[in-house]
Amino acid sequence: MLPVWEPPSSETANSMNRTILLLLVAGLLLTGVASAQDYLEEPIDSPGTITGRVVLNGEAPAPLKLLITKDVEVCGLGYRERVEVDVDENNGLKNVVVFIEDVPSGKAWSEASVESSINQETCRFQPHIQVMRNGIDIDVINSDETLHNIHAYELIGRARKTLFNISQPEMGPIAEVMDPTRGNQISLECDSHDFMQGWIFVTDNPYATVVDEHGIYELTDVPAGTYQVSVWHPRLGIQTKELVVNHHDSTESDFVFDIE
Amino acid sequence: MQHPIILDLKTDLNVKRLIPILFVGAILAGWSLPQRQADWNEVDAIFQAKCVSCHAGEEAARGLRLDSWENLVLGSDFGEAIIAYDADNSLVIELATKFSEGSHPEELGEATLTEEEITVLRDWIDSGAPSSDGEIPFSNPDDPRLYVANQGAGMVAVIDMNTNQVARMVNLMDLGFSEFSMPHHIAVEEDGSFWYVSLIMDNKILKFTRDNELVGQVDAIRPGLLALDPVGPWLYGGRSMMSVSPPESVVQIDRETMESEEIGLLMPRPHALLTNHDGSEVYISSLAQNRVATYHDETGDLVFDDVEGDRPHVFIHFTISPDGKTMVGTSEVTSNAFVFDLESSEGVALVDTIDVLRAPWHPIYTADGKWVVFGNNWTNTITILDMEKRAIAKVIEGVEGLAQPHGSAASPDGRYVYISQRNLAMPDGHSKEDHVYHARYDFGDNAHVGTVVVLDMESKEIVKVIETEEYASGMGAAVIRNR
Repeated sequence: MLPVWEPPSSETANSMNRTILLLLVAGLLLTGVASAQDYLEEPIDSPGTITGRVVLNGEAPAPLKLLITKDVEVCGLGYRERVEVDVDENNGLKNVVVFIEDVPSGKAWSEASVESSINQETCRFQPHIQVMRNGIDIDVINSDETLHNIHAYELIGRARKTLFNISQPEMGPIAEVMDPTRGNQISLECDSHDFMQGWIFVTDNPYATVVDEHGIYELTDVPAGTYQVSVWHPRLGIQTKELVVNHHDSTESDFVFDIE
Repeated sequence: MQHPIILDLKTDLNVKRLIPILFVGAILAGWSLPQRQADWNEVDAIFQAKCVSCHAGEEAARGLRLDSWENLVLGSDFGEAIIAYDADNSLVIELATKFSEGSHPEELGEATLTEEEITVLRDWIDSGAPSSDGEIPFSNPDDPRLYVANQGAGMVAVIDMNTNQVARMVNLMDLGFSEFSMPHHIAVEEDGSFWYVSLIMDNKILKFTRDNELVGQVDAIRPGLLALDPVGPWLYGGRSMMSVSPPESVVQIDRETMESEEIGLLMPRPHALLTNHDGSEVYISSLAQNRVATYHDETGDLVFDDVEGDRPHVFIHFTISPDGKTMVGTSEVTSNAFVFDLESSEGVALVDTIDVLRAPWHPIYTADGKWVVFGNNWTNTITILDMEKRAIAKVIEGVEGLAQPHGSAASPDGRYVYISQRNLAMPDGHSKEDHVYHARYDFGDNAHVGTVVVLDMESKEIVKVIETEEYASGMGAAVIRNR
């Protein structure tokens, strides 16, 4: 028989509270979560903006044509075209994350930054790529009437490590925490449908965004200073350049991914 | 008002006037004039003139000798040069007519075959490629055959297991089935007299003679794996994973009459399916639940044995040891090989779980009972389990030809294990690179040619890659599978 839990006395509770507080502080320091919380929201004096466009130099490879071999009533019958490198008519590159690392302080997080979710619908991860704030609670939603088994991997160089692995036989949401410890690029796969693929970039500050459908980006309310600004495309890799942001100014910089 | 055209038989019926009418009618009806019967002597003359400078003797290019009918039939290092009755899919014709580098051997600076010579070859192959004595290749009824469902092409490749090359190609579209019929799995009578194939999207299970004549069919919704009762009259049909919610039943077919009944299971998405060695029990597992159902044929009883797990394992298929005591099942999502004791008083009892690479597919016991072999569909590997140690003995990877392994079968003597390869250009489960087997010859329509790799169980190495047609999936051999 399981023991019955009883509430502690007030004296015991005070002692426990102190102990818990100490443990929490120690835990935060040990796990590095504290560093994720280092970003400080504070008023910015005459912020600037970084804008630009990410383009592909070269011809985008043909989409992967993956034959759907399972659950065709839900996933569709025939081939799934997976466009790994997607461009607009002017070679503006889609599905790129633009971000600044190591920003100690700056603009406030948006309210939406704590309301992220991953949706699995028609055997696709939707959205295909997104930015998420580190450490937040998220919903992993199964919108399909079949088993999904989302398997999220932190990408660490050429290696990868399981972040979470959830079986969802039923429709609906399951709560999860987006808290990678070793990498900020996340690959989403489904252990039940090998043609599914999604991506997440996890950020410790609000200066990260996904380009629009023309490869155009804008990072707003950036404190004046010098930054290492990076772009990440899941298939084409990362590029970084140093950019200077001046007060009330807009810094424009394009990024080019070459492809043979 | 128009008057209907009436044929006055008394005045119009004379033979001279009928001839052109019949001729046009025959063409409209899709008939053709009788095929010219080319004989081996004509073919031999062509080979002697154009081919034997390279394709003769011990040093013949690609191991293909065209210096005699017998040597031609033995094929090359890669496989068959011709497929009797099927010129369109015969390599010698494809190389002469579709090769991207030119009409072979033109790309080598040699004189190629003329149109007339190609026509002679075509006629000869389509009439069965007979020898000068009228012998048809691979027509010995005692030769063991391996049947390979080509799910993306609506075809079944028939492989001669003595020479490991394609001996026949059965085109289901020629028999009236749809382009997307999706033949999935094959069961073969122990004496090789008949074989059966499931068509997922055409909702049929077909019966063929050894000579590939269609002699029966039965309706079955989204049929998947097939299992023969080795003693009784039944053929069992499971349900394909293509369907999210197929009937919660398996089909029980009388193989003689091809009449069927359904065995209700009260278990969603039945998939893995196999009978024991005397046919008294049928084991079925589910893509959605962690349990094995045992159907007792004599009593009609259905018994469920649960398998532990915090998520659906998604069972793919079973194999049973030659002594009938042990069954191994594979799981897609949890990537395990489950070892079951079939002699336990507690039913189908799980006695061991072996972690393997992702998505182990159809397993097969070798005839000596020492090994279980399966492909890992998501990692483009083949795993060999040592069943005495119940551990992985070897993983074969990085070998040309491994691209989404699917079905399995074994030669009658147990020497060779065959693993079919879908080759659908799926990303690799490890590297996310596209993993594709590239056809040896580019014919413009064979970028994703399915293959069957031949694994020599003595060396435990792949010794041959046989090209078939698109999306090679389930296979059956003329021995009781998994026995």
